[in-house]
Amino acid sequence: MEIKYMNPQNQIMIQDAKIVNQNYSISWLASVYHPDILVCVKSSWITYDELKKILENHCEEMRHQGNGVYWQKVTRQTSLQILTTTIKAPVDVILLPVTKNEILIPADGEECAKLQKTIKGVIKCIKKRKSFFPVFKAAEHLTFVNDSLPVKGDEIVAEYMVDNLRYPVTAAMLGQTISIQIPKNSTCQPCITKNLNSKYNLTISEE
Amino acid sequence: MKKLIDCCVAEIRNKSERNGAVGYDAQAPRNPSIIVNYNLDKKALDSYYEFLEQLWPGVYLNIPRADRESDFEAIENQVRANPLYLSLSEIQIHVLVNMTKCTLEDLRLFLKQKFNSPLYKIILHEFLDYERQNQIETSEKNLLNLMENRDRICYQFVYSNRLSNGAMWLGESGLKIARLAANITAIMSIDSHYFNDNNAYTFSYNLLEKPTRKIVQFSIRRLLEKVCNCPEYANLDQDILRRYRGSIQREAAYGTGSFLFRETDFKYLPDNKKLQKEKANIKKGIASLERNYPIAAMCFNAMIKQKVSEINRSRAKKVDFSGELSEPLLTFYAVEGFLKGNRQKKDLLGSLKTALLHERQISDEGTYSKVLTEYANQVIEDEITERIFAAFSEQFMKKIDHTSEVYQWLLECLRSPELQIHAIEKEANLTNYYGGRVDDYFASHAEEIIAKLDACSDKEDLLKNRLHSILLQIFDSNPVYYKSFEEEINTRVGKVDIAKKMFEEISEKDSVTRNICINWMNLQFKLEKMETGDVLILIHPNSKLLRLADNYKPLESSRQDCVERIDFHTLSLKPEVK
Repeated sequence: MEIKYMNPQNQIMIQDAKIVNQNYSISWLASVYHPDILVCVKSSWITYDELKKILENHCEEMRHQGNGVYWQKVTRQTSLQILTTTIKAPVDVILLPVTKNEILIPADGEECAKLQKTIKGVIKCIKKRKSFFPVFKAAEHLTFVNDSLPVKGDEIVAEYMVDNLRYPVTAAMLGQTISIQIPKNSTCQPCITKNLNSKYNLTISEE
Repeated sequence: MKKLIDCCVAEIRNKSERNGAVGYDAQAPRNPSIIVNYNLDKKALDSYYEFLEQLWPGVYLNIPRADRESDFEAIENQVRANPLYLSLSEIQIHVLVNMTKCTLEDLRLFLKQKFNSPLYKIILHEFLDYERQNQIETSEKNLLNLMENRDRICYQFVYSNRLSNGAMWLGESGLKIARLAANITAIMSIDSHYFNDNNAYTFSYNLLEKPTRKIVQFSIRRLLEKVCNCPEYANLDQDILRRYRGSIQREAAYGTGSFLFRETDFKYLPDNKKLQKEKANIKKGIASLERNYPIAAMCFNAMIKQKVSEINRSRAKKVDFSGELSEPLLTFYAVEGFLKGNRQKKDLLGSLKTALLHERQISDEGTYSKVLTEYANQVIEDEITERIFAAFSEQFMKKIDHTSEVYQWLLECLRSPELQIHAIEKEANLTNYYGGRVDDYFASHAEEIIAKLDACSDKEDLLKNRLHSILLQIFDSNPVYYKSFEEEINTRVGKVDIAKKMFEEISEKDSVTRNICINWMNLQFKLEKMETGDVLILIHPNSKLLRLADNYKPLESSRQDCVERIDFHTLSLKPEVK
């Protein structure tokens, strides 16, 4: 098989991509031109160029499961379920038409971004608050959790805000308890850092 | 006598026609003219008028004569009324001055009061009086002064009466004057014997001339030796530190302001409660923070990191130091001087770097928020200073690399085969004279020359423009003659090797006596109308011609550059030499 660039009429639009019951559930509109499709799921941390290289190296494989990339060829199908344990979120889903001896891929990273659908990962923040009476102060304990972030320890992954002051949370701080004493009428507002916003959702669980 | 005058006049006309009017004004004036006797006595004046009438036929009829007290308005009207001069584009004022008996201030005042308009073209006919030793100095001083401060004077004709057994000798200062004169106008010297007795006379002139190729090459070489031989400049790095430290610190301070932390920024760091409880008098630092409050330390370091990346984003546009770096401190001359002591280019910035980026002591007492703010701000300041220093360093090294290139170009020029002029270098007279001139010029104009060479953009620019213009300026202040003695003689005679034969004659010891007189028949072609048919060249006993004659063979190829042309032009008739 050869890797070739697709033109607009070869593009296949993804209808939906989400997690349902521990599965990535992917559905798309049937293509009249291309009954064979390579459903490709890659970790959002893998770039277009890296994906292209992996595809080139394994283009004969119609089902591939490698580090951060999974694909499977389907014929005349419009949906597919893939176990989330196969590849960890966040993932980008992209459909690549397959002809007799060609796999058609987007021309560049920008084109790829337009066609793919991202299923975001989750960073969880567990927030505990204790207030002391009659002191006008409170203590909050934040724990950010994600066990699969492929970033270095000093990379900033999240933040918390108190009284308009922002404090970064690094990858090394994940799983650690951050204790902050704040005024009683204030609270810590956790949020995802801007860079990771497109890949992760933050879920806050208050106890 | 008359015949000789005719010959001289014919020769002047001949020269004048061949050379055109540039720098030479011996033809009869075509524009309306007035001759003004400033201070000549009657005898000299009459003789001079006699000469001028020979030189300018019709001068007597058409050129009014005046003196200091004359009514110039009336004379000018008289000139205007002359139908010969219907279109009055300018009036030539020929002022006859005895330089020995003249106060320059008065002369200038007179010219200014009477002829202060662009309409007048002022030509000075200057008489140098050499009867007594002290008059030599006065005459020469005045002449030199006028030549250096010509103001509105267009041409100067110089007449001297000094003879040494028939040969004219202007002396060292006189030669300097002659050189100056040669470079700016024509010089014509006629001694007063011509007017007053029948013993002898000399007649000489020089035209506006250019340096010979060899003297140009020699001067370039000497100049290049000077600029390539930079003295050691061991503490250039210290001067760089003094010059640029302030500029970089100013830029850093300007860039730092908006990025600095305030103490309140660290108010809600993790474990803030414990941090605030730490006693103020207990020493703290980043190490103790990392040890005792690792989560807070991670957050704190990430805050600094965030700020640093903000700095990176905001300082995309580089600080421009081109203005500072174009100042004359960093020339090829200074840099090569520094590199002489086995130093490297990077050492130039060593002192500056140490002074800018040295670790400052941070107070480790006080509240954690104070210590952390101080530490964080130092990191920010260092980061910005480092970036500005890096930008400066890049631009600085480009400038230094360029200065090295300029130096390489200069060295290449110096080693070029064109400048390997061994013959000329053996001649002590020439090397001492012109070499000394170039050395003196370099000593007084070093900064200007170095700046000019340093500003070269490429090798071609250095050769074609910079060196050329520096050399022109050198020759402007140290005139040299381009036409060799041989060329001059051969041109006159119309044959080659005449000069060589003449020197061979000079080399015969019997003919070399004090004030040598040589029969030189070959010049008859110009003076054949003379009664005797013999022409003499009179050479002063100190003339370089004699010394050169002894060594004619080895110096054949280059001797021409050493000849003092003033000697050559001292011509006379054999019967007139007593």
